[in-house]
Amino acid sequence: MSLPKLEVDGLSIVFIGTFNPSIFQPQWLVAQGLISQSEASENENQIQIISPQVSSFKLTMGAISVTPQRFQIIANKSPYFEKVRDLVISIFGILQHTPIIQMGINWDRHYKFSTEELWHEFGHKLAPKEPWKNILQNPGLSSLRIQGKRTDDNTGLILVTIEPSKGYSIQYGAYLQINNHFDIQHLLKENSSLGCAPILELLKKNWFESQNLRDKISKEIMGV
Amino acid sequence: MQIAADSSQSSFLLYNPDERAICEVPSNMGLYKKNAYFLNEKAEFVTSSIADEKENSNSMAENYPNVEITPNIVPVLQESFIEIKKWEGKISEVDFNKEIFWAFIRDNKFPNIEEETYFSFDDIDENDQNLVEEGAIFYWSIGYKRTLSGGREKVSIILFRRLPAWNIEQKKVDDKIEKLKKLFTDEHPSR
Repeated sequence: MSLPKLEVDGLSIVFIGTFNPSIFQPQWLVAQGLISQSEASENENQIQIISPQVSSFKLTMGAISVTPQRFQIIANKSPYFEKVRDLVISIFGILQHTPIIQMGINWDRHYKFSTEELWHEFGHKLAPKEPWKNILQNPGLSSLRIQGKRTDDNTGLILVTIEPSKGYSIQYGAYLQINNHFDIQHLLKENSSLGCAPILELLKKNWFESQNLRDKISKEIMGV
Repeated sequence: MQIAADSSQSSFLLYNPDERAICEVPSNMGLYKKNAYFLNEKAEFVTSSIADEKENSNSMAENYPNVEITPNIVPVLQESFIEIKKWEGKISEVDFNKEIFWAFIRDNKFPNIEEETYFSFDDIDENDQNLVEEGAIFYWSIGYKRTLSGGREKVSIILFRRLPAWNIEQKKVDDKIEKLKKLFTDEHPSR
């Protein structure tokens, strides 16, 4: 069987906690020395909204969206992954009292199958259609989510999602998302003054492990 | 840009007409038109039934028992990059006259193996050239850029780590301390 080709390799880092969205804007990042003035200027027309309730803008390395409960940065170019990680660590190194209770290091990949037959075969392998044949006409895999326990000492879970690829013009495309989820609510309940230090520590410590997990799951599920 | 309520009215989606949604905003967040500004002139709200901001004042533990952590809405960022190989590098020496620098690089997959190589300033983005100095950290990727039309081209990208402003100030102080220490220990060894 011919293996699918990786077409889009993406990363997102999501924090759940308490945020002040209006802080997050390109000029604040420039003022802190986290991005260059030229990067901010080049992406000036990429600011979508900045308000006390939601902030959303794009940089060369990725797109940032912040609401009072959620911070997320998304990148779809792997050379920028480390820059994105460093930016996140630097931002919350400055905003060190921000309480963050959950984190997702999420890997988003889009693959292209060479033929329609191979694409269907992949879907049938993961979600056999036999149980559905008498109930639905032409059943197909729309979304499959499998959740597993963490194998390390951290609290959280691993969630894998597989869907047909959308958003990119990939014919016979499959989308794989690996959500490496960490939850430290218990820590912050015990000591709310910890701020974001525990989550940043988890991000630093688990960066390479998370990539290894991504590679292992990709290899097992997609074959590449 | 538009904001639209989802079918359950429990959240609002923020999106561009030409893109997929970029962000989900819980309805109890109190999103007020007067507080938001848009650079896109076509911006409009398609819903205005927004709950009171006071609802957002619950304790953190009550607020987040079952929050979905994945970015359920992913923006389309057009071009993409498929990596063949990536290294992390640390500059060991810089020759500003010849505009080249030497660095120790480590393959991300084999971090225990270190090699030394050199690069020209021309290999670096102009915006990053002021970051070239001894000890600077950078990431070097080789891979295929997938263009909007679906074509591929092989590219090499070098990106430098940028330290926060306070960290740079701290580094300057540390360097000064180090210089002073050297001055005292080198020139006045008896002290």
